[in-house]
Amino acid sequence: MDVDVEKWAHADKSKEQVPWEFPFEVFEENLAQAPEDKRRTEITITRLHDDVADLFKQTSFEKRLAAEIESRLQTAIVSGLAITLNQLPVDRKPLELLDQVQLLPAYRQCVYGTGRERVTVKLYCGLGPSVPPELAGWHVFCNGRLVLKGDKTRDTGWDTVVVQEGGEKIPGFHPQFHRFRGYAYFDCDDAGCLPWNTTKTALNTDSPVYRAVALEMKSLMRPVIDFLNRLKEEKQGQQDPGEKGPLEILVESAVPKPVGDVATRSAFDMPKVRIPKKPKGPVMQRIQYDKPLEQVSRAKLALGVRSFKEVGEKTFEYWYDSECPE
Amino acid sequence: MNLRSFEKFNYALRPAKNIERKMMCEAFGRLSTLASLRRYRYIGLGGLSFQDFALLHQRLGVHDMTSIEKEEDARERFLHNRPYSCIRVRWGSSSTVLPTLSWRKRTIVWLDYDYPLDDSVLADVRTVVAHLCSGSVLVTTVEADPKRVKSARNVAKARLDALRERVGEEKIPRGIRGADLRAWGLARVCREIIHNEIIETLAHRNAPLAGRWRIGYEQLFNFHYADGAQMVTVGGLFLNGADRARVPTDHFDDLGFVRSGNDPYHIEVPVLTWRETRYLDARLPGTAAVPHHPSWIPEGERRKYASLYRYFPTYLEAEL
Repeated sequence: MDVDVEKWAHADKSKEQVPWEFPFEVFEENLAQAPEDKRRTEITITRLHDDVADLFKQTSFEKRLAAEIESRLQTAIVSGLAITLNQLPVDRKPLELLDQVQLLPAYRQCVYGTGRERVTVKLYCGLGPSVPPELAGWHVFCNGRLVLKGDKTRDTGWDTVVVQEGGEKIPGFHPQFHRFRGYAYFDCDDAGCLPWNTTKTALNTDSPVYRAVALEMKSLMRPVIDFLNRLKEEKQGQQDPGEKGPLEILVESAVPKPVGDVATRSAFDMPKVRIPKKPKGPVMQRIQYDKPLEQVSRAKLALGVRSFKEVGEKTFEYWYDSECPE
Repeated sequence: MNLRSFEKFNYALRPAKNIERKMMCEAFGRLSTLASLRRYRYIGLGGLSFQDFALLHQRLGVHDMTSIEKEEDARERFLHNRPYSCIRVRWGSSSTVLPTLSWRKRTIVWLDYDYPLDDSVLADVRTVVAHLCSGSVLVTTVEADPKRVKSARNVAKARLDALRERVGEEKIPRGIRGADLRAWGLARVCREIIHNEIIETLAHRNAPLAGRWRIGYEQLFNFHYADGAQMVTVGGLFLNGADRARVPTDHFDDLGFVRSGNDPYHIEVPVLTWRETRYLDARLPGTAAVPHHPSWIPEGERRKYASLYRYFPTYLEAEL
């Protein structure tokens, strides 16, 4: 077939056929089977736009394009589709999850609609390697094509994750979640039922299927987020920063494996490890007040201490010992 | 020392809570029009006394019971206090345990928190509503006590700020001012926030589903009560098209405590002696809403008692 893009782009789409479907100019059935090495789909583009032609000459563009193909079509590549760009194969870098019996990811399958409009959704949610940070978050695929990579926004439920920091609640993604991995695969014969935009490059969060699946994603996330918060608490609680707690040892002993190769369970569950109890001290309360500098400096001298913090502590202890006997 | 909730109260002796539990149990019994209660599951947030579990097992015959208990360091004590062997305890916080449960069975869930509404409560509500199957019930109880605000010049603003801090700005209904949170106002707003969360979650859940599979929510409970702190309980029934057709529209109408909207049912516990309640019992139910006699019992107490005498607990000291 021969498509004049210029003409196609300016055609009145309301009157013409569906704009993204192109009929064959020659169509013959029951032909003799061609030898395998002769079977292919070849698309030749002529009359490139000048800006695009310039872009194609740049090495950096070729690298970016290879990375884009590798990322967006990774499901197809992992399934065995070989893609070469200017004679060089596009790499296969499967997405991974930690494979450890106590840290296995959650897996859930949901089905919506029937017939050609039946959308099958497969969700994986668990832990991955701590680097690279851009892989943390949710990855959403539609018919094998990546439409959202490492998302950490409210589109994938991160607004419901709240972290307590210094007594304040801060919603959203935090560095302690670098090991979080979520993969959502949407598949349907009718591409129009999938949650992507018309150019199939971005997620459509208003799609009815996505709205329902987002609830599942949030529910699968919560135990993983709780675990990663516990992991952070464990690290902060170590007396010696070099020392590793049981959760950290467990995570570090886990080996990453490609998504399809890891065993799964219905929900991520907190590993059953013995966590030594932190000796609990009394609940502390900070006191703040202002006093004239001259008076505070004299008190510091009289107390023989080096800092204003100690002035506060010593004067409180002095008053407490005399007024609040045990 | 900070006492935990189960160490602070003996839940069995809180009369309003006791009445609420029995009222809800009576309403749960009506679910038998959908399926035998024996085939239902009950999920509760534990506690040491397991009052709700005992009641639902004794009165309704529910056998499949799960208690979510976060106080794992008191594990042996909790296990020892289970009144029946059919109660399973899942250790962890509700946020950790709820997403790991299977939801294929019709379930009565009572998220009975002893603290105020916050984002973690709403997340639990979301998790349950996203997964409950038709014929199930979700009940949520939170503390809704505006409390005395100390050392704040603008008490109304301090209350609104506190709520905003707990649930986030976008959850607070439009038009709510700090002054609306005084007395039982906070309880009303909490009910609205929980209700909105349920409706919004259902809208997302139902979005890709065909009509008959869509799940609707019908509120049954909107209790206000105070054994100490002011509490609000909101809950209702989740039904798809097929189950909706099996529940008559007036199925719960004769239960005087059922509330389908924002107007609450106040559980007001009358202060009466045991001899007085026995005297009144002999005259109830009567033709008048308030028993006219005996006049030496204040009319207010007679009125309160007449509205809930079937659920009123009697406490006696007994030598065992």
